[in-house]
Amino acid sequence: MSGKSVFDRLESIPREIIYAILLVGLCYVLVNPIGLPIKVTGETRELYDLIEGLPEGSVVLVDIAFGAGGMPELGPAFTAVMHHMFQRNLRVIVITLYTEGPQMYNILVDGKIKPDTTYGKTYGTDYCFFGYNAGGVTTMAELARNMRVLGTDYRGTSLDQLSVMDGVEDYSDIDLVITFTTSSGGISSPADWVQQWATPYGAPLACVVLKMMTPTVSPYYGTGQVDALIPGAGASAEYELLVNRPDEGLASTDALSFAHLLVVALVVLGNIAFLGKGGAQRA
Amino acid sequence: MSAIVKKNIPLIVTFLIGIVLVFEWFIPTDVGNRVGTGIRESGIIINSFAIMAGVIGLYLNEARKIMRRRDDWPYSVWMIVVVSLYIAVGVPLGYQSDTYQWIYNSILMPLGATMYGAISFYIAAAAYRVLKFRSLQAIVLLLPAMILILGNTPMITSFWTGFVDSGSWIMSYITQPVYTGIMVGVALGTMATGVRTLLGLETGWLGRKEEAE
Repeated sequence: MSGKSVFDRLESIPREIIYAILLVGLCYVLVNPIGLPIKVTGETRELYDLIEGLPEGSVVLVDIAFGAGGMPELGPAFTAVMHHMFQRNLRVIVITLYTEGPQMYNILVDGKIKPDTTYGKTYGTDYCFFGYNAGGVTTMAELARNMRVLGTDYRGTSLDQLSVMDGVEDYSDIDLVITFTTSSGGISSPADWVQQWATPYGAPLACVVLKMMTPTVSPYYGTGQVDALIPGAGASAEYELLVNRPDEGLASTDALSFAHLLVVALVVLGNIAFLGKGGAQRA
Repeated sequence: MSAIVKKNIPLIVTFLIGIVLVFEWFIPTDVGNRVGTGIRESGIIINSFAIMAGVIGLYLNEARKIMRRRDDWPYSVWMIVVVSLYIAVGVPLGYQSDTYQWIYNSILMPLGATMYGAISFYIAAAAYRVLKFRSLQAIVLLLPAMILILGNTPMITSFWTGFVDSGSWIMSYITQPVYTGIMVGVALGTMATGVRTLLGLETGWLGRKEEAE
């Protein structure tokens, strides 16, 4: 140990130390949030404006395509956007082609948002949920032509008895599709929605995805096939601010900042050590 | 089983269904629409059955591993226990029952969230070791990475939006065109595979090559 220079030590910080700093730091900022102001970015504002621009009573098709793994990032965004839609008195039809989707609906809509008590909404009249539907992209394609293929909701109630579905026959009766997805190439990916709804029928489509997925979806956004694209991390906090519903997204903002700044600090330290040891010449 | 049943019939069915759906899309007619709808609805039903077949296949496969004492066979025991538990609770009580919810919320939710959260620890350690001024290529990787990280740090962007603007420029003018190129390549490959499948030149989906032939 005595023969090691400062640069040697800086360049070989054990990963256990890094993990420990990150863990302790994250716990600290989660328990003691700093509460710095947040700036709403253009992307988040775009989705907000898209929903804001819909007339009351417009029909929105919401697709849940995330499970327990994606819940920490997409859960807060889903909650905030759903709050917004209920505030705007839109008709919300929730579907899922993802096996864990029903659990997410139970936890977030029934357990957290509670549209009936929070907004005085009535299940079946203002919103409904069709449970898990097998078939993936085949189901998605058929839904665009025939929404009646859903048959019954998750409680077994016939679609004809759900007034929220009155007049909803196919894609042309849907004013906006929003997918909350962790899938970049599997079931219910943004690409599937673009291929089955947005491109052939021109259906307005918004995607709420994992932060790391944004590069893969951004080409569709750039061409206008996706009308709004926001990542769960960060944007959920901004959306909570916009709809005045501070929740988990805002609470995790400081943790996000801490983790990012730690990564930057580690990279800087690693490079100081690398250059200090004459790394540039070696390279 | 003869090659007719194992290979020729599936290839003919695939060709016919594919052709019908292609014509239904490009030359829309009422009859074509009805046939297309029927095919897609059949696909949804078959898919539902496939899930059940998958569960049976999973049981058989894991049971085989246990009986032959293959590597990591205790995990197979655990798999069977968990799947059986979910079926035993989910089928009679439904997935909305408190018991089912409790199992999901107490076991799967924390595990899923932990797996996802653990990525941040690996990324932090990996970034420290990898992102260095080793070469020109490394610098090209490092600088945009830093700009994007800082542009996505609320603590920074609340005071200064320069990193956000720079990050947006990188995403719009570098990332998007590159991904678009990749996606066009993938799309062309998908189209070629689709045509080959329709023509019966692609037989990998029929199973192993020796079985299909």
